[in-house]
Amino acid sequence: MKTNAMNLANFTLLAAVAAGAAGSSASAATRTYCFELLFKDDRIECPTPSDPGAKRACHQEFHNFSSQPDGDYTHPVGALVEVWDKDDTSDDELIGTFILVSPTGGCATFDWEGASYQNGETDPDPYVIWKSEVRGTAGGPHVVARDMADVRYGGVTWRANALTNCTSGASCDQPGYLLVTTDSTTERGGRAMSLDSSQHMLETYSSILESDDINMRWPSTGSAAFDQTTYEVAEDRGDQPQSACHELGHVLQMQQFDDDSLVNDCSLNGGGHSLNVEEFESCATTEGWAGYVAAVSLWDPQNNSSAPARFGIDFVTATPLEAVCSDNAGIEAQVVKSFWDLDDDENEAAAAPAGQDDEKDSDTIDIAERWSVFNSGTNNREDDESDADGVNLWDYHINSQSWWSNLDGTRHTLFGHNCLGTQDTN
Amino acid sequence: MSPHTTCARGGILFALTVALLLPTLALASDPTPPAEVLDDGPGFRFKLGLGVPLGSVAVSTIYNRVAGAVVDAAADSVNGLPVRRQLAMQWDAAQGRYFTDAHPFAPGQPPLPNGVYSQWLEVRYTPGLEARGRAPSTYRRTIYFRVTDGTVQRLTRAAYAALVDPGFLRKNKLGEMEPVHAGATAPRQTSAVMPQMTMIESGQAYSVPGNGEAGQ
Repeated sequence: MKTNAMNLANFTLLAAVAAGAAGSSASAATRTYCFELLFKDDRIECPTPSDPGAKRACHQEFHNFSSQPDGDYTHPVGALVEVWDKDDTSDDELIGTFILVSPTGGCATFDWEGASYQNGETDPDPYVIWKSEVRGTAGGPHVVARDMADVRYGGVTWRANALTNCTSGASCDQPGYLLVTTDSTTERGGRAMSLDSSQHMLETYSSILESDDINMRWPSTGSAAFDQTTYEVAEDRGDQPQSACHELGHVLQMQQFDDDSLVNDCSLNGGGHSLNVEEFESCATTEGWAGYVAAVSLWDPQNNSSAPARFGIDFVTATPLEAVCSDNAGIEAQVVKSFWDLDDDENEAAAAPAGQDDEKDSDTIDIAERWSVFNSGTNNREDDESDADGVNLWDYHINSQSWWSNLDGTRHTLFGHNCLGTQDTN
Repeated sequence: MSPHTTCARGGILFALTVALLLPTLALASDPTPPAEVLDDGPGFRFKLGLGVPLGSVAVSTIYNRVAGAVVDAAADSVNGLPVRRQLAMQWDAAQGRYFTDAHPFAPGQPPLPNGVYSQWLEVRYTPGLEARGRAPSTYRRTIYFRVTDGTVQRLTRAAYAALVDPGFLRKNKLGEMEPVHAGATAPRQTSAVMPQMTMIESGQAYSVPGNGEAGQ
């Protein structure tokens, strides 16, 4: 299981490597500039610090500011920031690009004397620019925010608050907090929340996502994923962290297929799909997969107290959503639960009308990589199977039969425990 | 059979094949919530999308910004103005849908001072005992408006942002102009130990022309 702690350890290791690589002059004295960023956080259906199993909580801190709106704020872990040197008589110089690795703020250490950006100045006047980009790890995949014309968003600058003359050996601490947003309802507010939500998914799946830019267009009329590097977040879903993570779940599946499309026929009840309304099995499976990715991006499946849910639907409870077992085959939320059961540590007993126990505690990354074994094509078991009920969970399971340890336990967990065994076996 | 006929039949066959495949290659999208607000346009009357019984749904407005200032959405009132107000749901027989009227000048509401406002339209769904494995859930849509001497005008998100959160241009690391916003600051309330950040890239690289933004 890839945990946040492991990722942060990777950050630290990479920090040491990068710091060594960045050094340009053995005689150069460094400067260290520290600051703390926060953004206004009004997200819903995301675990908070008091909720068990939160991988990285939303609503991290309540602040009763005297000069800014009260409310919940969160540190943008994984956000990219640039540190610049302010110059009044010429263009400012970029000192470097850094990634925030801690939910408490960060310090940027950089060479000064002899660096190209010194530009004859004795000491820098550093300031921060928050970029509209997040990463799961320092060298890992990125999500870049773009507007609906596909133009990359600019950042947020604190040039007006630049420190003056950061000297060698001094403590160059930016006073107070730097607030990326104070109003979550602006375009910028929704962008900051959606980027941070996306970062949760990147942090979970960094090791298998491709390293190209993934573009997040915002604010759209509807959340959707388009290909292996593009998704959109709807204007009314910037406060729904599971929306961005869900679309990234589609992006991940497309990347595993190495295909810019998914078999996803959601036309059984007209357009759209709902968590608990019957759909064709390709829709229930593809959308359920994305829902599971969102859940596992926010909640830790190894914590038995985790309580992932969306739109009020509990993804942990053992009881199937439909009272008649076979009626669950086309239910999206039941597929979310099935993948969660495959991943989680808790192996609960069967609950009626299901007949089998949850027997598996697999690995988040291994579960995702099972999509990569699908062959390209439109035949049965292939990634674009031309059938409203395929690709479904049987295709997922059967394509990896020789791979799973405890194959019976895997089948019981995915199908018998979740009443999904009546999905089409073709 | 002429080549044209063969070509036309081939085209029809291709079109049929595409048509058969299209439903299966539908856009991968986000699920529809059990109850939501559908933004109909410039007014304050909003259609409701309900996939659950009417009696399990409640709609409220919650102010986020009042007369230009962001407020505490958890407060009872701000300068005598209730922050939260429950709205009635009404049936529109012509459209066959429920709707709600969120006009801020509703009877019983205090007059609103001039300025820019934002508020959430919040739909709260509380499932009944018949709903299996469900807990209450919340959906929000934000609406924006401006009050000027007793008249109210809806604003788009872009118009609202332009008023309360204007951007400006700066030179980025490539020397190109890009839009940015000015960040805010607040006094520190607690001290924090801040760890080292990872340097992704030194600014020295940008003394070399031709560096792109991709991946940065």
